[in-house]
Amino acid sequence: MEHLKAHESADFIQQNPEAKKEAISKETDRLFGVLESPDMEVDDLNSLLDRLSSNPLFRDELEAFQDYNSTALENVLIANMEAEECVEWDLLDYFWVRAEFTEISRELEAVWLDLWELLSDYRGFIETKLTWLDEVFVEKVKSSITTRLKEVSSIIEDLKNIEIQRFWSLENFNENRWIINEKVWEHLSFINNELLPSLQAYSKIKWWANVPEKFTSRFDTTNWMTNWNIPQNPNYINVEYKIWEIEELMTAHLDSEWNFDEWLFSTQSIFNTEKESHRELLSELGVQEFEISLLNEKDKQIQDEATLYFMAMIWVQIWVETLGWVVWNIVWGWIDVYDSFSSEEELLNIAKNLGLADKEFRMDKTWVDNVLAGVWLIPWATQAIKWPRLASFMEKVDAKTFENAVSKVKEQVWLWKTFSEDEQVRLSLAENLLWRELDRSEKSVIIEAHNLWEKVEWEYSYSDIKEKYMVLKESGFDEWEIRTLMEKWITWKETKELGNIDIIWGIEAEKLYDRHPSLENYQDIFLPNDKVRVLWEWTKWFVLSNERLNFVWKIPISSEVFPILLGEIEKHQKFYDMVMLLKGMWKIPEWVKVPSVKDEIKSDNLLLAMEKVNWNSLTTYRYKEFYKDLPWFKEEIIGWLTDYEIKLLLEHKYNVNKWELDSMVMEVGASLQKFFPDKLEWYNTAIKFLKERWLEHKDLHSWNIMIDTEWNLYLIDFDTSNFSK
Amino acid sequence: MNHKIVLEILKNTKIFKEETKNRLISHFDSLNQTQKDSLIQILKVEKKLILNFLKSLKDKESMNFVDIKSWVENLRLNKIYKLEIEENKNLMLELEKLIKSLDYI
Repeated sequence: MEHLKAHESADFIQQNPEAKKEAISKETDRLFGVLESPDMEVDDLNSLLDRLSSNPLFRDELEAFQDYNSTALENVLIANMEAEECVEWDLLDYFWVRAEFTEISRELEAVWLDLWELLSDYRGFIETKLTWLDEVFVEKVKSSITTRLKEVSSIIEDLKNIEIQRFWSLENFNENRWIINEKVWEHLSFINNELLPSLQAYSKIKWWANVPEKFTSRFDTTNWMTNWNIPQNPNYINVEYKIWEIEELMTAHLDSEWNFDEWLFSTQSIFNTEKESHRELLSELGVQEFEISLLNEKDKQIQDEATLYFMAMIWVQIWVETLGWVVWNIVWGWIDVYDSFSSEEELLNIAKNLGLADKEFRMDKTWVDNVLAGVWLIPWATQAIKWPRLASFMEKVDAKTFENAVSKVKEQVWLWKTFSEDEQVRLSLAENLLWRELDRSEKSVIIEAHNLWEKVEWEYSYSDIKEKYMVLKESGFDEWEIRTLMEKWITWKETKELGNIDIIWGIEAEKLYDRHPSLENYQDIFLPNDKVRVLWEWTKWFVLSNERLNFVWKIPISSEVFPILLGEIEKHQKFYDMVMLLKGMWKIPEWVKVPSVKDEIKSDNLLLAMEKVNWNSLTTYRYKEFYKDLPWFKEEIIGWLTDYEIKLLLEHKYNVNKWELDSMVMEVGASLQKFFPDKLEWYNTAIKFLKERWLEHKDLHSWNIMIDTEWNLYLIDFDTSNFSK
Repeated sequence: MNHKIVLEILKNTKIFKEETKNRLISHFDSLNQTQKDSLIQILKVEKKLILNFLKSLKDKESMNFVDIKSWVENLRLNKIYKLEIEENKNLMLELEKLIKSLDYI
């Protein structure tokens, strides 16, 4: 009203109806201005509508407004429905499902799988082949199909969890499409292998087809004249009984989940295409097998090819294993031996690397794999387990195709390559990968080096490796090229020891940067005047020592190994803390130690810095003691050598048997008793206490026990250690 | 717009019939993307629709001028009241800080 007063007096308005009308309209305009202001929220407006609805006239208007909007919206929705997905809606209506399936189909589409085609296949099958069926039973079949398909979303959920656990991202999740397809297939196996074929067979047997006699006769009477004991017919099928069971199934009730009851006897005893005799009968009756796949054509091809080569590899693998796993070990030397013949995943990886299988292809980690993980110690077990699976595959595949695949795998894996007319060279897998990129002179060098390799067989010694290295070097190969070549021939342990001879020893820092630019991130820790020695280098780690700071650094080459290193640092730190604590409690003597450790994180770089122990490991002390009578093997001479140098010296200069040297590594107790006769008990108590505190080292051999010049014991190398609780 | 938000708005909106609303909410998942998009577009202009509806009734008997006026007045007072409460809160916080800093001294 204040607003009105500003213009006209209230009395004037009261008296003059026209003025009153004008004033009201002005006021209404102002009020609408308030309503239209951006501060006004939809909720406020809704409350206004509520307030005004007390007026019946307004309520009528509002209802008309809502009616109009609702019909308009419905029209829009219907128009869009018809425009876009008429086929799918039709399909979904046919199977009486809507909401759940649009969700599932979207999830499947995200991994390039097609649900609609599968559903329309089923629909086509039901509408053409099962026309004679009672409508009620058709509905049962449909609901059984859909209940099974609904479980797909939980399969996808599980796989996503596994994917996140393994790779920490869902970026490549669509590579799981083969696995999902396989699982869906397993889920629907009752429908595809039993129900649909049985129904088809039922209609044929019931109305027109004759069952061949070889299935109906109980005994094999072909030789009845000569045979006293008439053998049973292995193909015998009690067809009448089967028909009866199918009829029983058709009248049976579905279970609470709208599925055929699994425990019902009829459900278990209808025709099954997985049984050989059944399959034979069904194919004689002309029953078509129903094959489903969610994959598109290209993916199907990828799967077929990959499975073929995978099976061919198992074939080759079994064949090689019968020759002896040692041979296998040599050929696959660059892969961990247990992996190569126990893990199917590894096998598939090899197939991928050879270009035999598509890079994206993934296969389900089967039970075979799980079983094999437990029995890798017995090579024959592998063979026994893998054979049945291979046999069932070979029944289905064309023999010639399989033969070709096997020969291709052999060619790739274990290759006899003709280099010149009279010379045949066997090449291993790793070399074969390199082979294509080499020119003729380089190839000749490798062959030469390889002939050396042939000579040494699988019981090679370090001198042979050294010799091979020399051959390669004289042929003009760069030191680093040789190392990459050799890394594939020999396992890391040899590389390490080889490194100590003459290859990696004392590489200057600059050259190291050239080789691994990623190391430049760590540049600020290598001061120019520091004497940095490369203790050893491997594909994953560098170990450098800094003489000035008296530190050993473990530096990862790629960021992929960060988690491992972090784990090691954490474990190491925990051990250190525990040992210090137990020392404080007088449970552990002063002279049992763990070198102090710290992680240094600089922006994105991580390294392990460990206190350097001066000087040798327990093993070396044992060697020194044991071989003290050898000429020139005196402290004055060998005192400045490192552990590996001493070992190599013994092996090559004094020709001590390698096995003799190695066996000494395991004798931790004996070595300790030798050097600490009065302290052994203390040492054992220390280990016992650590175990009681749930810390287990797990890799405690005498290379991992260091002894300094003051006879203190240091425990090192915690990357395999464990906290048992 | 997130599906949950859309459902929430659908529940509260007054521009559709109750019956339609319930049907939409229960079958929301079975709508395809285009259908959902068009629904969302309509919900985005909800405020405009209501305002236009009210404007169309401006000179008609069905809408009571006094009702709107008192409602607007109430709303204004409510907002002022809320603002005051907030200001009071802020003042109290500042006071507490002051007292703490005094304690240090």
